[in-house]
Formats: sequence, C-alpha cells, structure tokens
Amino acid sequence: MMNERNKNDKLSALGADISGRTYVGSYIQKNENIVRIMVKELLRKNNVLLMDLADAVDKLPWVKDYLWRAINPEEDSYVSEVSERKLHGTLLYVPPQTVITLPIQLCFFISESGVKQDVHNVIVLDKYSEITLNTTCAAIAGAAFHLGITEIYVKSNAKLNYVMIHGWSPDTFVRPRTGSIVERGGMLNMYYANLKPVRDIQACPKIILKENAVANTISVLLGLDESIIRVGSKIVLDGKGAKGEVLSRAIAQDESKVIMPAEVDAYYPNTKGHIDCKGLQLSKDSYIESIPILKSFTEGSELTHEATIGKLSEEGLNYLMSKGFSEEEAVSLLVRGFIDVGLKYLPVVVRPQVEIALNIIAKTAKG
Amino acid sequence: MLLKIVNLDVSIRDKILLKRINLEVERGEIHVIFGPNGAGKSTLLKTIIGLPPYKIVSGRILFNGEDITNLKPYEKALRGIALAYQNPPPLDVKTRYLIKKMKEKYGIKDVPEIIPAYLYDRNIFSGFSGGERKKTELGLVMLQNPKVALLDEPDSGVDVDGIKDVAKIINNLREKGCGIVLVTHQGFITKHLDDINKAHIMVDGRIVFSGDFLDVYKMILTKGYKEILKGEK
Repeated sequence: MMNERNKNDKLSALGADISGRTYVGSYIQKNENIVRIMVKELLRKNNVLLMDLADAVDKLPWVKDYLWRAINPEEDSYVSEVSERKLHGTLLYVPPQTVITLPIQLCFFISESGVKQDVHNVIVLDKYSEITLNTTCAAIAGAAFHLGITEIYVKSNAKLNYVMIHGWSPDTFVRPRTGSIVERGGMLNMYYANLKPVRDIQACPKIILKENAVANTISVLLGLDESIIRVGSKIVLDGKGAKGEVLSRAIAQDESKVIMPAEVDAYYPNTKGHIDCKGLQLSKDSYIESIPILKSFTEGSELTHEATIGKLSEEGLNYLMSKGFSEEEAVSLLVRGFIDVGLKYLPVVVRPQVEIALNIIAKTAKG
Repeated sequence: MLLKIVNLDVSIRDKILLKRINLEVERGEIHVIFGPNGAGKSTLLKTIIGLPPYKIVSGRILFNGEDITNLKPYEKALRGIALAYQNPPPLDVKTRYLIKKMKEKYGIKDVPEIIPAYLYDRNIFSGFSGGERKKTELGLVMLQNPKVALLDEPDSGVDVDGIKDVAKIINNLREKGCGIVLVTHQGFITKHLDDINKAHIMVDGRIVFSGDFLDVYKMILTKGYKEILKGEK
C-alpha cells in the first residue's frame, strides 16, 4: 500500500501541489470526493469563483445555462453516463476584465483500485478576462476508470491558458471529453502531456472558434509499455478570421500504440487552420498513426497539414556522442528537442512546470 | 605525447580506407592535413573520435599515454578530444538547450562569443548558413575546453572575415595548450594562424608526406597532389 506521503510525492512529480500553497486557487478531487478547495485573497477580491459544481448549480441559477452546452450529453456512452450521475467537479468563473497572472490548480486523482471517477468541470471566462489553469490528473492505484467532462466558455476577447498533465497507472481507462466555445476575439491555448503508462486513453477536445478567435492545441504523448493512446484535437473555424493550430508530438516505445487524430473544419472565409503531427518510434513493436483531417465548407479558408513519423536520427546520436554525451543522454537530448513545441503559447509563469514534465518524458524515453 | 597514432589501418565494410597512419601531436601544436577530396582526411578525424561505421583494423590511438583506440566517442570527448564536424547535422534541439547541456557537462560558465546569439532559439544547424554552422560548431568545441581539437575544414563555406574569426579561435585554443589537427582543403585559413608546427599530405588513405608547413604548402602549390602521389609511388 502506498502511504499518503508517497502519493503526494507522486502527484508533486506531475506538478500537483496537494497543499495548494503554490497556487492562487486549488480544487483537488480524490476519487469522487473533494479533498480541498482553496481560494486565495487574490481570487476572492477579484470575485473569481472556484467551487463545487453541484453546490454552484444549487446556489447560482445562471450556472445551469453552461451545463451541457459545449458538449452534447448524448455524444457517446461515456458522456451519457456522466450526465446521468450526480455532479462531481468544479465551477471556475472569472468575471469580465479580470486578469490573473498566477496559475490556478485543478487536480483529480484516483487513489484506490476499482474506482470509477467521474468529473464534470465548467470553466467560464467572461469578456476580456485571462487566467492560466494547471490541471493534473493521475491514478496512484491499480485498475480504475476516469470519465472527465470539461466545458469551457471563453467569452469575447478573453484568454485561457489550459495546461493538463496526465500521469495515470498502467491499468487505468481514461475518457476525457472536452468541449470549448471561444467567442469573438477570444483565445484558448491548450497544452496536454501524458507522462506515464495507461491502459487506454481517448481524448479529442472540440473547440469552436467564433469570429477572430484563436486556438492553439499542443499534445505531447508518451506511449509506454502496452499503453493505447488516442489523443488529438478538433477545431471548428466558425467565424470570419478564426485561426486554429493543432500540434502533436508522439513518442512510442515498447508495445504502445499512439494515435494522433487532428481535425480542422472551416465554415467561414478568411480562416486559417494548420495541423502539425510528428511521431517518433523508439521500438519495433510500437505503433504510431497520424490522422489529419481538413474540411472546408467555404471558399477562402486556408487549411494545411504536415505529418511525419520516423526514428531517432543515427547521425544526430553520433554527433551528440562525439560531443561527450552517452548514448542514453543523446537519446534524451533528441527526444527533449523533439517535444519542445508550443511553449511559446504558454505564459512564462507556467513554463517551468511544463518543462519538468517534458524533462520527465525525455528521461523516460529509451531509444 | 598528447596524441599519438600508431600504424592505424581503418576499414569500412571490409574496404581499407586508411593505411598505416602515424601522427604525433604535442601540447600546443598545430598540425595541418592537406589532401584532395576522398583522401581520407575526414575519415581520419572521425576515426580518432571513434565514430561509426569506421572500424580500426590494426594500430593504436594513444592519448596522454592511455590507449583509447576502442573507447566510445563520448569517453574520448570527456577525456578532452573534440571534433568539429565539417557538416554538422541539423538537430531537433534548440541551440540554447544544447549549449546549456554542454556547459553543465564541461563546467563552463561563459558561452563563446563566436556562437551568434540570434541562433539560440533556433534548432541547431537547421537552416544555418555555412558561416553560422562553422562558427556554432567551433563554439561547441570551445565549450568542451579540449586538450586536442580535431577540426574538419572549419574554413570551408566561410567568408573572408569569418575565416579570420575562425583562425582567431584556433590561435586561442593553441595558446591554451590545445593540440590541433586541422584538415583543410584550400588552406586559406593557414595564413591567419600564428604558428603551424607541421603539415601532412594525405592521398589515397595514406599520409604520403610530412614536414615543415611552408615546405609542404609550396610542394602542393607547385606539384599538385597527383604529382606528389606519382613521386611517392
């Protein structure tokens, strides 16, 4: 049995802070129970709400308007199951013109085998507001199931930086379902990294961009052992001047399978979409698949994609070894370089945490 | 003796590329190796550092008296041997990150000025001009604080001012006591080097002539490599 301290250490390695001290706000859920909601003065004085979603629905009538708008409750059997269960999760509401530079933490972890954790989060950024969310999801137990619904509403000219670090256990099934609506001039930067073996994960956040809205999604996927990872993004350019970019980097080793679905659909002119998926295969028994889809329903959209799958460059490894790096160090350096994408979209305050995650991936990957 | 190469035979897929190579480099010496394309100059440098696919069939490489013939490239690099590639490969690694890692590895505080700062946030050698590649590669060699620097055509593809900068670095390395083996095709850089101890002519996988730099250079200019090889035969 893992003691509390070990559990906390494992979560800390993924960027979570169970004490919540290093964040201006924290919501921590273990299995289906809230461990802690911490709202510091900075959030309180700016009237930022971070609370239990069930409680919010009871106390604030307007919250219901944001339930099941960004995601259809009938989208699939997993979503449908969560829609029929009691609400577990959080409401995060940021009032208009409120800019919070320091990150807010959401942490969901499974501590016992056999748990079916369901989560429903609603995140609303009102006009001209901006926040950075650091989300950690982990399992520190045996076989378990995570169903996570996240609805994101970024209103006009607001900006959300959303970082998710996943560290599941080899027997966890994970089904996150995320729907986002970004209104005129809004921006959503979504960064995802998976660091640990997982039984099976399927996630493809859908982002609807209205006029002049922008979204950048970055997924860094590490396939280990027999993990099956199917993670990507779908961006819908649903307003003039909307721009979306999907960046994916997959590393597959052992007998893992990593699939990168990526889709950009354009419904308005003067829109731009780009998909960039790269895979690095580090074992003969691994599998990588890139599925880029571009759909244009209008004239005047500019949609592009690029995709490559390959192995580590022998020449690069030799070069680095001639500079004094052991083979293991050289592999780590090349992997670290391969996954060094999209950080420019994140605020400086959250980059060190992401870099720790990327360093873990680079150290774990074996050529 | 800092670096001593004794009767080295090198092959690739059973084809002998280098034959009976002997070379001795003392601390603070500059040795220039001349030779036509395909003579084996780059192969010699890559063999010394231990890069595949070159296989040492016979002979030995001694460094400070230690037999390093079969050491791995990184083991040789950590002992103080640095190779500047003629064409370093583009890598998916930011210049800044590789510099950081090399500074950590070799305990160096300052980044050599020769590496253009505007290249720090680009993937190293990716889309670099000839001059940028050479300067950056030489800067990385400096970060290794080497005892022996193997420089493979550091002057090729570099403009006149760039050649002076490269020569300045080589002179600085030599002043610090670093032994230098410099491979050059044209030899333009040699007129900017303070002191060259010895020059060698490589043709067809062999060092066919070694001697005083000026004598060797004059011989190449007057006779050409074909004539020299004919005389040797």
